[in-house]
Amino acid sequence: MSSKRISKELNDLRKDPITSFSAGPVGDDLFHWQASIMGPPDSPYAGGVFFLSIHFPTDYPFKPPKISFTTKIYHPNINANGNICLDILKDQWSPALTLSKVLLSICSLLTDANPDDPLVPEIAHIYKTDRSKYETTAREWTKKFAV
Amino acid sequence: MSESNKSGANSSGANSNKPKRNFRRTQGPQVSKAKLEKKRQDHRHGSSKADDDDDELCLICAEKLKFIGLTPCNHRTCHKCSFRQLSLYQKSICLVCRSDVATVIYTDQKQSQFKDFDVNNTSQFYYKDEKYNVFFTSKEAAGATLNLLKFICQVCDSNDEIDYESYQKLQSHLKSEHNKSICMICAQHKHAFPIELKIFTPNQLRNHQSKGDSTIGFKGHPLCAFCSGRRFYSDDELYLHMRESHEKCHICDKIDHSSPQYFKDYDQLFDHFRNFHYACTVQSCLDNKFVVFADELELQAHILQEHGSIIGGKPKFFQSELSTFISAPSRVIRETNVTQNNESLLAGENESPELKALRMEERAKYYLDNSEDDFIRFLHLNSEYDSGKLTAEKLLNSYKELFTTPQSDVYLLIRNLSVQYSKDSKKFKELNAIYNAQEQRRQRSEALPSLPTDGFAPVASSVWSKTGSTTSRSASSSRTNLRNLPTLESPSPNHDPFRNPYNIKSYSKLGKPLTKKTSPQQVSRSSPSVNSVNFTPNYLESKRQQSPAANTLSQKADKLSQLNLPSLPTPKPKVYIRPVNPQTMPDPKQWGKQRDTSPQVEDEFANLNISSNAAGGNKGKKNKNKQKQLLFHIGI
Repeated sequence: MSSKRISKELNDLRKDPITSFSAGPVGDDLFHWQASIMGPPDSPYAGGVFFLSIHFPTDYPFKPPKISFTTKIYHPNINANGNICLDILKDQWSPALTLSKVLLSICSLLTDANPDDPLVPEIAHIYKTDRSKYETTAREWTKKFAV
Repeated sequence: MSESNKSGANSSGANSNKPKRNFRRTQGPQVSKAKLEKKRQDHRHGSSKADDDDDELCLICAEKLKFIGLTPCNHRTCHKCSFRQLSLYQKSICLVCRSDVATVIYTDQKQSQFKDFDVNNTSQFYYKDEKYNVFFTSKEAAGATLNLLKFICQVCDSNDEIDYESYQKLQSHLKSEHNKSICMICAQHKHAFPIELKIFTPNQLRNHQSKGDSTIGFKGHPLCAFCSGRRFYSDDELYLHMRESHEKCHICDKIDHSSPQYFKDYDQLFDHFRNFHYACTVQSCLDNKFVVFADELELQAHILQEHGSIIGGKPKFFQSELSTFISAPSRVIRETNVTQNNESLLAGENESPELKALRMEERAKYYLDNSEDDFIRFLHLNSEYDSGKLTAEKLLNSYKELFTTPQSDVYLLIRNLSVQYSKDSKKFKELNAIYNAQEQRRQRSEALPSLPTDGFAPVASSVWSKTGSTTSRSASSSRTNLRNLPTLESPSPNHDPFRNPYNIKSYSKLGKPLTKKTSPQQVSRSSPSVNSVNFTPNYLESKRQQSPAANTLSQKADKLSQLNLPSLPTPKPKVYIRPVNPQTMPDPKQWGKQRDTSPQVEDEFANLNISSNAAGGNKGKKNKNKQKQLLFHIGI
């Protein structure tokens, strides 16, 4: 059931590639993908190329894919392990969502962080109290790890 | 499919967008009804074109639609997905838009809409299932859907379909009749219909549970390391079990939460606490559990704070057993972590070659808007550079011609290319030089005074002049920046004297020892002619008044204040001005914080204004101040 759906998503992505990210299986394993997200130009992550690892559960699409950043990133909703705090990857998941929609959501999370539901409270605090400091650090990290 | 992609690109994925997006999704098939009609005719004529059409596929499982489950919100999925959601996941919400679904109509009329049916008129339907409150328009739809729930043996002849009614009964039938079995873990957690479950021989079952099946993305049912032989459906369920039944070391977790440390029970965990962390061994803390710290300092702080009375200020007696042998192991771990981070920091360069190449390619694709021809040109340029046909400068210029989109940054591509060569190679050095030159230029244009690269300016500019005309501009801008730097810095020493009194004040406030405070007062008396010096002891006194154990001192202060009075009437305007600044700054803060004596603060400011003109009035006001202070002494 899930493999058919995943192949369909892969075909759709290959037919109509989206500029801000790309995604595809690692080797022959249809259930393990790698994706790369371009740092949105209007964010401190601009210029960075961020890699993500994606695991589709056997119950996909009834259960959400497991997505994590493999490139280090300074963000209130992404922790040191690359775990992403995003509602549609948890309780707000809908089987009608596709990976490309989720990746677009992650792109928009990079532009607009959600400091009110943080995964890294320290970064969220800086984000709320000293935005320029947050942006400087995020830019530094981007340069160090994602350029 | 272009529909779905477009809608995907339009929505940023935020929740608020979802209904809209889903609405668009449903719009698709409805709008293009005529087109569909044509497709269906094609299908009848034997064309297999429609197979690829999204409208014929289930949005959820991408299987071809035969029967559809139609929701009141007009979303259609295949009958399996819809009924799986209803019966196995027991969620009566729409798979597509998550709105609540009171009922579902299962039909083979794939283009019908919910409003085409009247759920109150049951005669319209072939059958209504009361349990799930769903309707079926035909016998086939009802059979295909409801039979999904039956426990039918797939090994037996399909003619006599016996419903075994439960997994247990089906399993015992399979075992006794066929020496086969289903995986009971899957049966309980997979949310699969009985008919979808694989039937294994005992060997296959073992393989299934331990190794899984990579073709369906299944890596076996993970084993709990503490509960012998107990397997869980997936890592999620295992973690849930670990959290509920076993203990995790929260200290280790804090240090490195990528690999959580689990222990069978609290006893084992406490052993770990004692051996690797700093557990508080006071009985009350032992009873409370989990009173453990990452390093000795934290433990000592805890002991002093919580058990100060027990230990009588000798925290050394209550050291953790470990602390005498190894100095702060967690600290060491932390440091190694930091160095690891630093390494991985450099590991931007230690990434696998594939990843480096991938990063460059992804970047190029993005800059080229996924244009394949341009991407091939890009790869061609790189191979030409690699073979030595192109110089680094020419490569850069060709990049500039190729990458014309606004988001393009050819220097980042140069950088990505450079790291694919070994660090000693000429290619790495020349590419990296181009990138670094650009970086320095950029830093300059950002005009950050803190950047320490001033010394490179002349060298760098000589390099830039080779690369293009734009360089001269940036070089000049960098020069102006250089000129700006000292002027930016110069105001800071001017500011400093204003800040200093702050520091001194707050510092004196912090300082507990009383002896220290008396000494400046004595000094102040030794130079009575200067009023400014008299100011400071006044405020110091006021501070001391707050400390409860300063009776004798307050008496001293009284004397002091009396002594101060005669010194007031000899003001020299020039002398006044200097102390005025340092004192006015901190005073309002301190007074405001400690007491509600805003009028006094105002007095101070008034004094400052008047001081140079009228010494007499000043004196009177000062007297008032002193009296007020005295009143407070008595109060305390």
